[in-house]
Amino acid sequence: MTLDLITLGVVSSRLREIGATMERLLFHSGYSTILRESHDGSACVADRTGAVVVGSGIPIHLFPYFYIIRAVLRDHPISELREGDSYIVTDPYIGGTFHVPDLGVVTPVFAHGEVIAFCASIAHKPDIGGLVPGSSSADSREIFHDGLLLPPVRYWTKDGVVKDLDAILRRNSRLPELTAGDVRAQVGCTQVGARRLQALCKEYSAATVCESFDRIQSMSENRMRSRLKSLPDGESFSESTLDSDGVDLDAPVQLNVRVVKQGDHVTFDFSKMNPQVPGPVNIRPPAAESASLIALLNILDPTIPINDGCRRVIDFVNPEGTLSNPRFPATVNNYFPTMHILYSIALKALSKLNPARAVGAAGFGIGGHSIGYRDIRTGKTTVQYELFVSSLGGTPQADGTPYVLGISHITPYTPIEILETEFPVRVTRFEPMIDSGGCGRNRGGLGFRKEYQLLADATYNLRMTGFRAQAWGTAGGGPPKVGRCILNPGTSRERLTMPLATFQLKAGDVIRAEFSGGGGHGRPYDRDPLLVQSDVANGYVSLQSAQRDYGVLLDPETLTVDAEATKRLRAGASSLESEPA
Amino acid sequence: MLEVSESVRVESTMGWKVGIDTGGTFTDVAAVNTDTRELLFAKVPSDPRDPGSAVMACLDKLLATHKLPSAEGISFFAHGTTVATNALLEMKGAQPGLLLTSGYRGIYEIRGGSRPTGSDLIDTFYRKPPLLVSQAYTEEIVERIASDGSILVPLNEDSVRKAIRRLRDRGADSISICYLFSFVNPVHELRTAEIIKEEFPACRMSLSSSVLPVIREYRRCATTLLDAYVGPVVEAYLRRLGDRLHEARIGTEQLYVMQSNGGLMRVDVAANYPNQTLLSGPAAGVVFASSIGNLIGERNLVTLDMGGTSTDISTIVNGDYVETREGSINGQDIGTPMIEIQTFAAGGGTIAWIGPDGLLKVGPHSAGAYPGPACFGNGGTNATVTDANVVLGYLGSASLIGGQFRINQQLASDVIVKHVADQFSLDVEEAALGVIRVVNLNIEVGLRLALVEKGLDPRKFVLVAFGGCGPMHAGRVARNVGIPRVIVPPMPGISCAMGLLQTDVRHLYMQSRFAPLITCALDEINDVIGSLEEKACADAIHEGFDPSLVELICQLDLRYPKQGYELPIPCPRIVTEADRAAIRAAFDRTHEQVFGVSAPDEAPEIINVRITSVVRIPKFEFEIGKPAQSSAEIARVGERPAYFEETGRYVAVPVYRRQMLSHAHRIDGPAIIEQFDATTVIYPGQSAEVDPIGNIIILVGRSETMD
Repeated sequence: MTLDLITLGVVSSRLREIGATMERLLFHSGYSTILRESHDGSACVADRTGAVVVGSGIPIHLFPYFYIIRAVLRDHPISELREGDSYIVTDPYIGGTFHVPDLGVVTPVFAHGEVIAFCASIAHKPDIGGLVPGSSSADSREIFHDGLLLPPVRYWTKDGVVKDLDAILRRNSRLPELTAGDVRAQVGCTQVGARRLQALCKEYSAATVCESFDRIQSMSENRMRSRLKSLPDGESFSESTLDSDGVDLDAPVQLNVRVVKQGDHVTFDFSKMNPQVPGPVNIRPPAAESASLIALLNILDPTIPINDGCRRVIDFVNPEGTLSNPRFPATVNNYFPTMHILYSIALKALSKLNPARAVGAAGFGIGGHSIGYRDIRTGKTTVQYELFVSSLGGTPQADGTPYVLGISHITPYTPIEILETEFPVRVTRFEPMIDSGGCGRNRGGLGFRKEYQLLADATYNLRMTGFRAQAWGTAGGGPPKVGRCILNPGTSRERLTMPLATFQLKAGDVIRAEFSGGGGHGRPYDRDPLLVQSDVANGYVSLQSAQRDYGVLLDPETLTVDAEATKRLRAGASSLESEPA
Repeated sequence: MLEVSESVRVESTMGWKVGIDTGGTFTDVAAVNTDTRELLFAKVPSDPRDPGSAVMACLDKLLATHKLPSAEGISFFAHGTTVATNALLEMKGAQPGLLLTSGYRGIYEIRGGSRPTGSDLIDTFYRKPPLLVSQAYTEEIVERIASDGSILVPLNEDSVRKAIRRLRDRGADSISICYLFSFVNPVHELRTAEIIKEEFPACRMSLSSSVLPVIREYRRCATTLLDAYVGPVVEAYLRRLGDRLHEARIGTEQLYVMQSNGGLMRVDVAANYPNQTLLSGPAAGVVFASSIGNLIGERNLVTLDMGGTSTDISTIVNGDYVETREGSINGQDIGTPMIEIQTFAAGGGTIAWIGPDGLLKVGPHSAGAYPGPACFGNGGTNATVTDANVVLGYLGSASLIGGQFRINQQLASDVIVKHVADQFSLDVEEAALGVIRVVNLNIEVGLRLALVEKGLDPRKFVLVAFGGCGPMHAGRVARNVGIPRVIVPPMPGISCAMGLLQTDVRHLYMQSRFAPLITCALDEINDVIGSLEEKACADAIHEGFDPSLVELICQLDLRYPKQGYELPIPCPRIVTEADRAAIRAAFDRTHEQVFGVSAPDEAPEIINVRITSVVRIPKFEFEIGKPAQSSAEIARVGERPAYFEETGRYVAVPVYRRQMLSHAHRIDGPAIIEQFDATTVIYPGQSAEVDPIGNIIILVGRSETMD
C-alpha cells in the first residue's frame, strides 16, 4: 500500500503531537529542578527497529535513542516484550546515553499483539550515585565512578513498578525521592505516548502508521540529500582544544574533524582525534554523531526534522581508543563541554560549504555545577544542580543571542527565588559582563556572571572548560572573552579554580562563575556606529572598546557619535589593512 | 489614585445593555432591551489606528435604528478591546523604565526558561523575543530582601532618587519595579513607589508586588514590565473613550471593560490593571459560550471561535473557565492568570501551500481581509481555506454577510487546481478536501491539546462553534476528536459582543506563601486569606459596589514537595483542622486527572493563596421558543451540489435559511444552513435540531478516533 500525501501529512502531524505531549508531561510531572526548571530531558517515538521517527525536547538526545532501544532489543528479544512494560538503562557503553545520569526509559508499543514501535525518554537525574552529590565528579577516572550502571532492565510492568529494581535504584541515589519521581515521570510520559500511538493505529491502521514511520524518515533523508547536491563538493579540516582533561592540567586535549562532502553524502572523520584521556572529558560515539548531525543541519537547512533518516546521508570514521570513542571503562561524565566544542569545529568546517550559514562560534565552557549540601544530623543530602551556558555568536543577520545552551537552544534557569527558598545559598550577582561578546559587524552575545554565597558547608563540583581555549569569530569578527571561575573574589582567599574541579566549601564562601560570550560576525569597523552607541548605553561595550575595536568615538557624557572622528578612525584602519603584509 | 465613585446599583438595570467588541476585521455591537428582550446587532469595519472611532460608529448605527430613543437610554456598556494586544503585537507600547535589585541585571535580559520550538532549537540564527526594556532604561537599586522576608540590605533611597531622575531625563513613560523576594516582603517596592511620586509624579508605576506577588522573579518581572509597557496606552485609550462616551451622552455608571480572566472591571479601575486586558476580546467569546452552556445545562464545553485569520480554542470544565499562568503573547511572557485560550493561524483566509518536505501545509500565512481568498474576486491569487470550502460546495455564491459579498466559484476552483491539485495530480475536489483536512487537523490538534492533553474526555464535552467559519468546520472536527455534540448559537458572528452582556465583575488576588498543607500553622494561612479579602473588598468599594454584593472564592495552589508546578484546589474562606484532609484528597484526585499519576503518600505543599471576587451582573436572557408545529421544510430555500469524504462525489444538498428555523425543527445531514453571518454544515450521518433558544444542536454521530 502506498500512502497518499495528505494522509501522510495528517499522520506525521499526529506523531509530532504525541512527541510534544510526552515532553510536556515529562517536564510538568518531574520532581528535580533539572527536569522541571532546566528541562534537561526529551522523549521520542521510534519504529520497531529503534529508529527515531519524531522527537521532542532537547534535540541532542535524539541520536542516542537508536542505541538505547537497540540495547533493549539485544538483551530482551522482541518476542519477550510485554504490553505495559518499561525498561530503563543508564550504562553509556551498553546503552548509548551520553553519561550515567542520563537515564533512558523505553516502552514498547503494541498493536494486534505485536510490537510496532517504541516510546522512549531520556532525562538527566539529579543523583545516581558516584563520587560526588550530582554524580559527575571531576575526580572520576573510570565509568564505575560515575554512578549506578544499569544495563537495559525491566522497571515497570502492567502491574506497576518492579519493586526489587526500584529498591536498588533508590538505594544508589543520594536523592532517592527526586530520582524515583523523575523516573516515574519518564515512565508515565512514555506510557501515555504508547496509548496515543495505539489510538492512532486504530484510527488509521497499524500498517499506515508504520508506513508513515518509514516515509517520515525518508523525507528528512531526501531533503538533506537534495540540499547537499546543491552545494559544492569539498573537504575541510577544523580543530580546537579543551583546556585539559582535569588530570594533566597542563596538557590541552586536541579535538579535530575532517569533513568530506561528496555529492549527496558527508563523512565526518575523527581519526586524528586525541587519544582517550584518563579524566572525565571523553565522549561516547552517539555524542560525537549527534553534534555532527546538528552542525550539518545548520549548514543545510535547520528546518529539516531530526530523525534517524538523517543518519543515512552521513558516515563516521571514529576509531576506538580516541576521545570520541573511548574504550570501556573510560569515564565520560563531563561530556557536554567536549561535545559542544566538537559541534563548534564541525560547524566551522562545514561553513566552507555554505558561507551564508557561517556564524561566530558560541562561547566554550557550557556545562554546569552541582553543590551537594549534607545535613550532618539527618544525613540527608540536597543537590543544587544548574546548567551553565554561554552565548551564541553573531550571524549574518543579527547580534548573537545571549545566554543560551549551545546545540539545543533552551535557556535553563532556576529562578534565584527558587534556589534561595530550597537550598542554603544566596545568589549575589547575575549580570551581563561588559566587553565579553566577540566584536563584529554583528556582535557576539555577551557573557554573564553569576555569583553564589554558600550558607552551609558543601561539596562543590564544577564542570566547565574553555578558561584558556577560546571560541572564534567569523568573517572578520573577533573572539569572545573566555569564561572562568573565582573562589572568594576580592578577599585574601581569592583564587581561580580549574574548569573541572571538585572541592569542599565552607559556609560563607563565595563562588563566582563567568560564562563566555559568543564570537562576532563580520568586521567590527563595519558595525553601524549607532548600534555601537546603543551598546555603550546598554553597558554591553565600553567607551574604550568602542574606540579601539569598533573605531567609533563617542562623547563620554552624552554618548553622541563623533561622526568625523569615527570616519577618520575607520579610514585609517582600512588603509592599514590594505597595505601589503 | 482614582476617586471612589458613587455606589452602583446592579440589581436594576432597565433599559438597553450594550456590548461592543473590537475584532481584527470588524467591530461588533450587540444591544438588548432588558424590558422587551429585543436584540439589535451590527458590524462596522474596525479601525486599528483609532479603535475608539469604530466603537462610536457602532453606537451611531444603533441609534440610527431608532429603536433606542437616545444614548441616555443605555444603562450598561461593556467593551472588549484589543488596544493592549495590538500595542504588544505591533511593539508600539510606552517606553518603560525598570528598577531591579542591584547586581541582577541578567534577570530580564536572558528570559530564563525559554524553550523555543521547531528549528529554533538548533538554528544558530535563533533569536529571543525583543526586550520591552533595554539595559539603558534599567536601573539598579541598592536593596535586598531574603527568602524569609527579612531585610539583608536596606533600601538605599538615594540610589532610588538618582535612578528615577535618570529615567525621567531619558524620557521614560512609566516605571516598573521588580525587586527580589518583594512577593514575601513588599516594603522596598512600596517605599520606592512613594519616592517616585515625589520625584516624578506624572509617571505611571507598576509594582511587581502588586501586579503579580508570586515566586519566580523572571516571570514576575516580565509581567510587571508588560503592565508598564501597555499601561499608558490602555490608560490613554480608556480616558479618550470615556470622554467620547460622555460626549455621546452615555451617562451610566456601568461602563466596563472585559478582562483576560473572563470578568468585567469598571473602566475607572481598568487603567490600574492594563495587563488584564490582553485577551479582552477572545475572553468575551468564551464567556458567551459559557452562558449558552448555562442556559442549556451543559457544564463541559469546548469553544471553537474560527474567524478570517485565526482560531481561538478554550474549555469550560464543570462550569468554570480553565486558566493559565504561563501565557505568552507575541513572545512576551505573562504570569497573570488568564483564561487559557489557544490561538493559531486557521481561518477562512489561511493559505494552502506545499512545504519543503513536499507535503500540503495550510497556514500560518493568511490572505487577510484584502485581497482575501481568490473567490472574493479582489485579486487574491493564493488558495485559501474559503476557496476550498467554495469548491466543495459548502459556501454558496451568496453565502457571505447576507449576500453583500459575491463569491466567484471559478476563481476558487482555479487556485485550488493550480496550487494543490496539479501539484499532487489530484482532482480539484480531492485537492480541496485535502486543504480542509489539513486545516481541520490543525484545529483537531488544538482541541485535543485543550481536552485529551488535560485528561478531559471529549465524549463528555460539547463543542460550541462560532466566529464566521466555526460552524462550517465544527461538525467534522468534532467527529474526528470524538466530541458527540456541536452547538451553533443563534448569532455565531457576534458572539464576542454577546459575551460582554453575559458576565460578572471579577478580580483575582494572589499571594505566594509556602507551607506544608498538613503541618502548617493555619492562622498564618487564614491571615493571608484575610488580607487578600480585604484587598478585594477595597477594590469593590473603589469600583462603586457595596461590599455585601461581593462573593469571595478561595483556593490554595498545591504541589507535591519538589514539583515545579501547582494546581489550584478550592478551600473554605477560613481553613480549619478538619479541612486539611479533604483539601489533600481533592489535590490527589486532581493530580491524577491532570498528570495520570498521583502520590498520596507524599504530603502536599501550599505555594500560593488565591481569592477570586465576583460581583454578579444581571444577564441577558434568551427568549424561550415554543416548539414549531411545522417541519424544517418551511426553511428550505434550495439545494446545491456539495462534496463530502463520505460520498466521494458531489451530491445535491438542501440549503436552509437560519432565520426561518425554529424550536424543534430537525434536519438530517448532509445539509447546509445559511444566515447573515455564518454558514453551518451538517455532514452526512449527522443530524441537527433547533433548541428552545434557537441554538442548532448537531449530533455528530459515532467517532472513529476515540481511545
